[in-house]
Amino acid sequence: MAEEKKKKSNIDIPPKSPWRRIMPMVIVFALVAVVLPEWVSHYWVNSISSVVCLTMTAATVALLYGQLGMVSLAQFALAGVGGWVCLRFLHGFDIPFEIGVLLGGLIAGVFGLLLGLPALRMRGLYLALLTLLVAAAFQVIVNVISFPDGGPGFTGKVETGARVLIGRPWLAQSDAAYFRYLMVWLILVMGFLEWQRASKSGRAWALIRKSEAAATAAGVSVVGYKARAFFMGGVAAGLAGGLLAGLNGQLEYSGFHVSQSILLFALVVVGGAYNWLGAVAAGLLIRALPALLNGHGVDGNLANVFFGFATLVSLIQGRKGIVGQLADFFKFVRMSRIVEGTIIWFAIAGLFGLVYMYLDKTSFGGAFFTALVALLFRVAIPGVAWLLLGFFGKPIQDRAEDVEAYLSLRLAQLMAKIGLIPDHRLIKRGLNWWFNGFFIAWVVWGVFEVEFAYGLALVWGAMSLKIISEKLLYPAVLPLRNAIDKKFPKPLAAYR
Amino acid sequence: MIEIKNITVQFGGVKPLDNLTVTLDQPIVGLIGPNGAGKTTLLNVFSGFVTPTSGEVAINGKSITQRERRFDLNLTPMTQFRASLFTRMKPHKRVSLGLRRTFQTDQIADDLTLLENVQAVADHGFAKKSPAMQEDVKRAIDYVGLTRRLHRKGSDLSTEERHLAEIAKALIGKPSLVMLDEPGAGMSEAESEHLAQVIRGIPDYCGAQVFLIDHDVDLIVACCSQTMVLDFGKLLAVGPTRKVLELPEVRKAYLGDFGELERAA
Repeated sequence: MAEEKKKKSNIDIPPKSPWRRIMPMVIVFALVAVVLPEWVSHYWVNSISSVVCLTMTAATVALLYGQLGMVSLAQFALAGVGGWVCLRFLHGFDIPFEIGVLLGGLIAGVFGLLLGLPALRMRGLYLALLTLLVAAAFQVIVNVISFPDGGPGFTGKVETGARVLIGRPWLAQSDAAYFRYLMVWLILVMGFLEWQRASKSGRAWALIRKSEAAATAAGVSVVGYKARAFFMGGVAAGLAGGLLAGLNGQLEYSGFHVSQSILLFALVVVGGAYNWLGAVAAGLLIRALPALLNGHGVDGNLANVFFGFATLVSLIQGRKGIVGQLADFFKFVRMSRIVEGTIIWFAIAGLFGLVYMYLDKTSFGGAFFTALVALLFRVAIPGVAWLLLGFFGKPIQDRAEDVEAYLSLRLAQLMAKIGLIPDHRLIKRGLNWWFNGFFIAWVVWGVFEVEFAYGLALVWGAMSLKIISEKLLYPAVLPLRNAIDKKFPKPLAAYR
Repeated sequence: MIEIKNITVQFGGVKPLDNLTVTLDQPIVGLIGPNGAGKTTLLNVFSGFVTPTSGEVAINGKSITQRERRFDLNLTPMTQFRASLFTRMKPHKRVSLGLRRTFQTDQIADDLTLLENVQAVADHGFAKKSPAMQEDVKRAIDYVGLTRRLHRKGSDLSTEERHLAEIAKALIGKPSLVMLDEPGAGMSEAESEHLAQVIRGIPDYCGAQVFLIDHDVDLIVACCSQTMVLDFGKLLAVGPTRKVLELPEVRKAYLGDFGELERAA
């Protein structure tokens, strides 16, 4: 009996099928598609729509970089090719929007394949240089022949008068509807890419990434699978370009500047190239952050300073990106805490959502979302602050740690003397408290149009409520916690 | 059965293999030799990563070396081109001949589970996805004794487990020749014993011939009935393992010349 039990505990839970792996992504995207347009202002619906297109492009960069270690700086140019082809066909012929987008994707895919041909022999810096030059060439070409500027006919140019815009698809005329339409495309494209990662192609890519010789010895056609990745990347980027063209009815050639390609790659590294959320993070950073700054009346280009800094930090921190680090953090949390946390987080967020809606300060969703973000960053930010210190060098980071430890200890002793519960992380918690409050309140001030003071109250309120409920509910949830711990004794990482 | 005829490999002035001719017919064959003897080069010739300058290798009577590309004025260019297409077998196609190999450094992808790692080989060894393929993968993993680690990520496996997983990868499909390049590197004695047991069972498991390279002479003795010794690209000895290891020239190549040392002292 005992032996049997031991044997059983050694066998892990079977791996998820490809479908089960992409399901979380599909559910999250579907929820966002349904809910988000109801919560945010008109300005933000448009911004988030372009985030969706950028996410799709970022996913192709992540595919090539994360799966094969190949740096392609031309993905943005390929999106440009897709957008260009889509616009030309829609102007020139009377075809449905989708056909134009698909044609753009297909032709961009062919270009991606051509681009990939040298990639079969090159790697690293040389491949990056080559793709960079291709992106630059694209920029020059569209500059000379002028980007589709909305004249009539297939080759049409505007001689006089205003540009002609292409129409949106008939079922997605409004901004909110077009956003949902984009989300459907995003689910299809990223779902397909994730599916590939989780099945035969993904396994072959993993072998190639490990070593091309070993992949060859295992019967993998290295050339074929590299070319396949480049083709898929090209198609997805082209689709993104066509959809971006549909968003505004036109495209500006300045939107496909080489620097954008480089920025996109850097942000994929910052966001994390090994996870679908990394592409989403990259899309948000490249479009939503400048939009946020602009919304506050700050020049959006200021975001580039942050991007440079973030890239440095994520290179120091082992190239997993923001998402990779968050995922690592959750790996070592026990199942019971996750269940418990989810329930408490959602209860608190729901409570704040109701209160703010009743006070008419913002929508239910806005307050709900803000509270959730506050609770999430409650655990993530101290690490980030310490990480930033690491930027000045290890000795300074160590010294700061020492000072912090000394002060915390004294503070804890003082508290014990007064008769309070000593807490050795008081300083970090305090810093976190301030930073979180001001930062998140500032963001929601822009996005959900909550007054700053109310935003601050919301963040701090959610965080203090979490602490209070933890203390008060501890005896009540203990049996539940023990029961779950008994069933899932290991951290989350053991149950993938 | 491996037949090697006059194989020479030349990289500029270096000859890792020099006119090597040998026939290996035992189910488990060992290959030893000091560093730089040409062991791995020979394996690379088998798997097609290295084109021999001259000579031929046949496995079970089927030639696997690339034909020399020389001009024959009697043939039209098109015929020559066609001939070169068919005789040059690409390395990744050699899997279909039943050639399997492992590498000195294990090639387990860190972010795939053990099952997925082995599955990745099966993906290309079978015509299409079938229950037999899944069965074969599970059977191979079970054979090397790693069923309990089926869903562990590659990064969570120990050195021993990674080496065994490499062997499992080499047993997928219908192998006719399994080449193991130092599978025992970095293993403890007990682990080595299990490894020897696994290697000894391979001919019975799938009917393949095993070609084992290792520096661990104990492992070679425990597994191989026939052993060949290479030294600077030349065949030093071949024959039954114990007899070969007792030959004075083999000892000299491996351990150095004691007489010379004594004279120096």
